[in-house]
Amino acid sequence: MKNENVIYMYIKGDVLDIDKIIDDFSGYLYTIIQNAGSFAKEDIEEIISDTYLILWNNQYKLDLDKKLSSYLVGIVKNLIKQKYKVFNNNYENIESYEDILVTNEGLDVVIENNEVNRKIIELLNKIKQDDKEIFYEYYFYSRKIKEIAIENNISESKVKIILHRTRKKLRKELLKGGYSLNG
Amino acid sequence: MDRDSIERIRQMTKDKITVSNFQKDQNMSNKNRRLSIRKIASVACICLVLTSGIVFAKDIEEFIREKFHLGNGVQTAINNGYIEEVKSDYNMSECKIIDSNGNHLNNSDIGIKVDNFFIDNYNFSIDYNVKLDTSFVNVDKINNLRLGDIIITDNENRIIYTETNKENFEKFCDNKKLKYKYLEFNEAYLNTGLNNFIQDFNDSENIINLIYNIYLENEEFPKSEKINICFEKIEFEIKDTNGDLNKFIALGNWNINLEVPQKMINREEQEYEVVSCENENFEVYATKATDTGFELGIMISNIEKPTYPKELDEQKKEIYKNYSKVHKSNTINNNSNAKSLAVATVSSKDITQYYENSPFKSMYEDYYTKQYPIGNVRENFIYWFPKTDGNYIINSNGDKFFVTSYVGTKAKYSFIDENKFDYYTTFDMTKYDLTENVTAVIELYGEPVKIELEKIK
Repeated sequence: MKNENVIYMYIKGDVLDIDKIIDDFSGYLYTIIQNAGSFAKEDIEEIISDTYLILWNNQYKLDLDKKLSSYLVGIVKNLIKQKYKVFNNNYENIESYEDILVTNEGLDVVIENNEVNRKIIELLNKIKQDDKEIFYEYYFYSRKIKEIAIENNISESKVKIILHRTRKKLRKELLKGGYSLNG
Repeated sequence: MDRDSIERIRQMTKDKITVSNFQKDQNMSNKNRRLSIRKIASVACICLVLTSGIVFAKDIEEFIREKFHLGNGVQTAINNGYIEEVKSDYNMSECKIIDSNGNHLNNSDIGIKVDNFFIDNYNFSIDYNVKLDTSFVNVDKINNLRLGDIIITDNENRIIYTETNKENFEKFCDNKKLKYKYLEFNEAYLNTGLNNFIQDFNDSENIINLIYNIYLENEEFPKSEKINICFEKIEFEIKDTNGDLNKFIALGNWNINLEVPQKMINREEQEYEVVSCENENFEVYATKATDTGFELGIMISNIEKPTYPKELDEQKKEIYKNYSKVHKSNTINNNSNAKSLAVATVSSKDITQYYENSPFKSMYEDYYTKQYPIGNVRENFIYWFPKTDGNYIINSNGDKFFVTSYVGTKAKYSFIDENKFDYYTTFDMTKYDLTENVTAVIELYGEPVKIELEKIK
């Protein structure tokens, strides 16, 4: 019997093939979270993307012969419990949203980590589309400067300048907003 | 789940990974970001860090071994032997396999056994192995699995957990000559909850490892000496070759008996007394360490219960108008004939973001600070506030223990009247972590209050 779910089947180049993982597991995780409690759709999507982020950040420590689903289920269950526990503890005190039509379903337990991230994403959405695409190719797809230059038909120095300019702009805007990139 | 949803998840994931890599890049002096996953041959220490450092598990082997996922307290107890291994054969049953339309497809043998379990005051967790025949299904195709029509009782015929319909329940009670009434819970017919999940698959033997975490809130499990688990069906959710999920039921009969070890019957506790407290309005009424946690109960007086401002009440309509998404709910009740209803929901993120940018920001902050005066709960509503450690206990070795985060614990967090607050919580410090003296640090409106405690001999 072929082990389709094993991690080494989800490697592309040197990193996890996150697109394939999203395609193969999102429905599965969606069902788990839906069965676990009453979360709004946006919160479920948030939990799932946080799950993939955790997996990505720890990809170098995974046992390649193990099933990917084991890791994903463990991560998502912990995330759900984090949200579910606080919700349960304080349900009796959430008077603000007692109305049947407006329900506060789920609490974002990763807010404290995502505040800076959210600000960066907000800033990235304001920069030029071409520059943003290059930024994502470097930081998301982990492409080398040379590869990005060839793909976009521009010089390597132009790629470096765009990245440098974008980083500088992000740092400046973050500092202005009182955020720090250092931990 | 629709395609749009997957694409939103893809974009969110892409954003988060990009930003995470960017942050690491900025913080790393050596830009060696392109580590190859293939170079890492063996499992190393894993720290499930969500960008800025929340640790979910100490190391990967522990993470995988952490069967029940009930937090550090339970894991410490298990690591110190607070778990009962069960040596038994599989309980086999020849089953009728039925599809979602009620059609009988074929017969198949399914075996179940309990590998290990533990019981503490608020949890009864069971680690099952479910052995399936490959002629029915290969385990890696199983998306979800649940034991149906299950009744768990003890040697005194107390009902520990049940999930079945009224007819089956009454038939069970008649057979055993028990006088319980369906859904009328009492101290012998427990109102327990359940979290269950598939922990692992074993392809070569076609076995699924299934975890059942049965829990009570604010009341304790009785001192059962023997446990009986019986159920008559298993519900499967199986992925077909197109990736669609289909439901099947296996009808059979399984009966499993467990002997509870003395340490889980007696469940000895260690109490502490208060040596000093930095706030005279704190009255500590409970301090006890168990195998799986440390319970602390405090009555806080002279604390103002806030009134929800009328202005914020009026904002609710505004939020609903601008942010709510109407969707169909299938969870209104369990009646299979119920029609799905349209339910409007607003996500927590939309609500908090709305207030961050509204003229009612400080009114909102003031209300939630007073409404959630203890610990860092208010940070879930006011994420722009400076982050704090929250509540914790520290022992003489300098080990810090935080509030546990699973449902099976005793907890209170509410105003008793206009100026008294009852706070009861469980930390993940266990009997195995104790020192003669420990210090509890409880945050009141964001400011730490120290309580020094000494072991009672």
